[in-house]
Amino acid sequence: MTQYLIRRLLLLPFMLVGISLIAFILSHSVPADPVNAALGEGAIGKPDLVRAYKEHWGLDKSLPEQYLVYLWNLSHGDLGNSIISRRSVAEDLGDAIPATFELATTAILISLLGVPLGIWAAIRHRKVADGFIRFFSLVGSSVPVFWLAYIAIFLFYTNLSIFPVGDRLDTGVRPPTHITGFYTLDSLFTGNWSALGSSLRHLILPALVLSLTTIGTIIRVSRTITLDVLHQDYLRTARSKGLKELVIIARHALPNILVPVVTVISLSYGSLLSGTVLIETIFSWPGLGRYAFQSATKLDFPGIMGVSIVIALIYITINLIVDLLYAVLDPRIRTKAA
Amino acid sequence: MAKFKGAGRGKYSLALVLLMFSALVLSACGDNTATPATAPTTATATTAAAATSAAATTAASATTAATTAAATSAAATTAATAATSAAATTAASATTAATSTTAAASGTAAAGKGGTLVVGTVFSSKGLDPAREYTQTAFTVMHSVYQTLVTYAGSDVTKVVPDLAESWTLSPDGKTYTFKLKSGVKFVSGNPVTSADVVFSYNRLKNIKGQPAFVTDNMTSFTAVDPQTVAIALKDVSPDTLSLLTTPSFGVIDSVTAKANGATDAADADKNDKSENFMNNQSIGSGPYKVTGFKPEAEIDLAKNPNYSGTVSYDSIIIKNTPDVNIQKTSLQKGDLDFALDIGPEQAAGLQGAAGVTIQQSTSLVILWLLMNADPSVSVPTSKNEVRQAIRYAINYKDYVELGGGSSLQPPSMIPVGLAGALDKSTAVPTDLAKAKDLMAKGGYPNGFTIKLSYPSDLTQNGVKFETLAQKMQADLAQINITAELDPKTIQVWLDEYRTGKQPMTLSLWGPDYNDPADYLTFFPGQKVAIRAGWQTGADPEIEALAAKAKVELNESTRLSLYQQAQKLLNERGPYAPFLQPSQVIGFRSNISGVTYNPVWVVTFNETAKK
Repeated sequence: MTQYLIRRLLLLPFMLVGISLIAFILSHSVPADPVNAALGEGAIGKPDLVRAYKEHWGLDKSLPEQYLVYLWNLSHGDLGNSIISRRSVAEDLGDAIPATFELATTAILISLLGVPLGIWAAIRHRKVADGFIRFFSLVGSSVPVFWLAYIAIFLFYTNLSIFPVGDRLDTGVRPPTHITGFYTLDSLFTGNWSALGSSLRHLILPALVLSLTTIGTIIRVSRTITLDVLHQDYLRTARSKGLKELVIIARHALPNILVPVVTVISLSYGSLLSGTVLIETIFSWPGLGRYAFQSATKLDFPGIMGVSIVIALIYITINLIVDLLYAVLDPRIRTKAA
Repeated sequence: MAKFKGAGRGKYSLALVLLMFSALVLSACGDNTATPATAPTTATATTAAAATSAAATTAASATTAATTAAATSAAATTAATAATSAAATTAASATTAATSTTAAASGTAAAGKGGTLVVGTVFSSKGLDPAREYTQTAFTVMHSVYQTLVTYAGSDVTKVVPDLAESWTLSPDGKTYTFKLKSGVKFVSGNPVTSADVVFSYNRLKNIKGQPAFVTDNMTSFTAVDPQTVAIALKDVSPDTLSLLTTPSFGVIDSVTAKANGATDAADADKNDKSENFMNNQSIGSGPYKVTGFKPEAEIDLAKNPNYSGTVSYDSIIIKNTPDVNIQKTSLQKGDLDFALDIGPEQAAGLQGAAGVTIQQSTSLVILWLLMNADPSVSVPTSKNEVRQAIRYAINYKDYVELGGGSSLQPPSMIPVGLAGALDKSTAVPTDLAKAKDLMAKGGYPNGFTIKLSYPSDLTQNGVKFETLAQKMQADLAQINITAELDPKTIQVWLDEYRTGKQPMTLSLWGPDYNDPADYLTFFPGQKVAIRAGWQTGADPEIEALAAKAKVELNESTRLSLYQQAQKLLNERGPYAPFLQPSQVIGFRSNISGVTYNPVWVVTFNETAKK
């Protein structure tokens, strides 16, 4: 187990170099000039301004040189400065990552409801509840998320005025002291109740909409796997022993259901963390997705590289945690790994 | 059964615990969603809306009772913590009250005014340094926090008025402007505004060689004649200098504070100015407001500048990043925003008749135009003037005006209506298919030709999508047998192609960098944009002669008539077809008065006031 962990961690730097190289090549293969992208009509015609700009951002060097400089800085923990925000990419990401984590974590916690719902649907196979849950999951996983977002906003913001929209706090409310970067937790820890109320109300609607996209998948996977497990021989045996249905599900079926379900949940979590562009734009949520989108469309190379590395790290970490969780949930994997 | 064997009993309980834990988390989470949603949330949501506008009035009254200005942020936190047991509602408004205290307590409270203005816009910039930023959002903010020597008042962009300068003279040779500064003007820091600050700011602007540095191109030196007098020497006679000086890039910064924070105006400022971060997080100007907070992705906070001598309309202004224009619309309708700066004709139509919302439409100074490359090595057909003329007659201009909605119009010249030097609306090129077909035949293409029509596919200007425009243009060209093959590119890729001048035909746009016809010299042969259209120096000597004269003519009426003559010829022989001057929509709450649109900085907030 420890050996396994060490091996995985040792691979990390190599993966980072690989990811940064791929991100670098991909972002530079776009047939567009970053200088053109950044400079307006006024400055682009002035050679001295263009030269000063290229020198400032290191764009006057050859591509391999630029990459080596980037790697060297990266190895010193320096992600460079964002061309569009003029701040260090690390600082930008430091603001954006907690915002996205807070949103995605809330969404995934809500969509965990999908596990019991899926199991229940499987138990009530072909009954009314099953049909209802299946319909719900179908809608959740097939309706476009931006459409859902607009409907939710129309309903809960425009008409009912229950939730606000835009940013993480109400206008004029100061963010709580930075501890975790999660506004809800930070305001809870510091006893800043106005910020807590405000951040919760701002968080719920986008999180709900986001969770609807993942809960559908989680329900379907849980249901299918449960159905599969329910028809296994060992469950028939358990039933024939006269065990109660609840005991059968909880003790005999559940362990076999959890492994694939955990995979789906963690992958959903990963996709939530990296794929919230639409929701973050619609809800004016200052997170990673919006940052990624902005960097990409404005050819902010340091920004693109920073985001790529962070998202890759998120996936690597989640996969690692999942692998470790497997070992906890399924002893056979643990034996093999050890 | 085999599956069973490996699993020890402990594992079942672990799994069960896991499930129960998740259930617990879920129920807790469910509680979270339920609890605030039932009672307090509904309450706060409505007050939050009220807080933005109502806190304005409450804050003002609370302020008088509140502590001194020094307690600013401390007050905010104490108010928040003091409200611990109180309902979220009161806490929220308490904080707002405390926040606005900053401004109100420090400034002279203007009677019956003040409060907080909340502005929604799509952030186009994250920096606020006048020497480095050249974007809409930065200009809007800079215009409120930095003063320039001269400026424009209201919507009239044809007459320059004093700002920091009280008077100015031009030397007989037309190459030196001398400005006399107003006395008693102070920066946020309390330092007086002197000619040394002007010189420092302008040298810094030039030497940092940032995006806006080009505005100083024709200026060779800035001299402090005496503490209240500053002289600007020009390379060439240039009648557009005053209008150029109104650009927010010429905002005057407090040189003493700037130097203390790493700024320099030396020739090597592009490498040695270390003040960027400082300049992005506060303002050191003499305008009616000062920057108090800056969250790059979320909001920019402005508060009243205590040292500003004139009247100040608001205690504080909060500019919020609202990237989705539909949300801008809804938030304006609900009163969460006082201003929506980016809504287009579509949102404006939806807001028609909405209670408490005013939609102001004015004609923007943006020109959307078609480039027809005059270089035969790029495109043979469009190198023939008859063909270019035919295309100008074939465009159904009224359809584009309809697409633009509101106050859109067909531009009669490349210089937009509203700027001096533009042609009269009545002289715009008419749609005349018969004439167009005739011209096509004369040009040698009675049966038309096939051509690539490029456009930036992800660009929307004033609510009009280039995608739609391109399809419309394709249909218009088909009327005279021209088969336009659409060539959509994302804006960055399109820009690359556009700037290398290799597009046979493309849709493009131009908005003024400053409000003078001289900004449109670029469309004359041999200039930057003309070269992209294959129009090199010598392509049309008559037009070039007119442009050269207009550039340096100091007599205003002669100058404008030269521009107009050149524009007329451009409509007959140029490689451009201007087809739409779209409408500029500004949405705001009806209790706000004095709103006018400026093409460079959009709105002067201090000219507006809340009832």
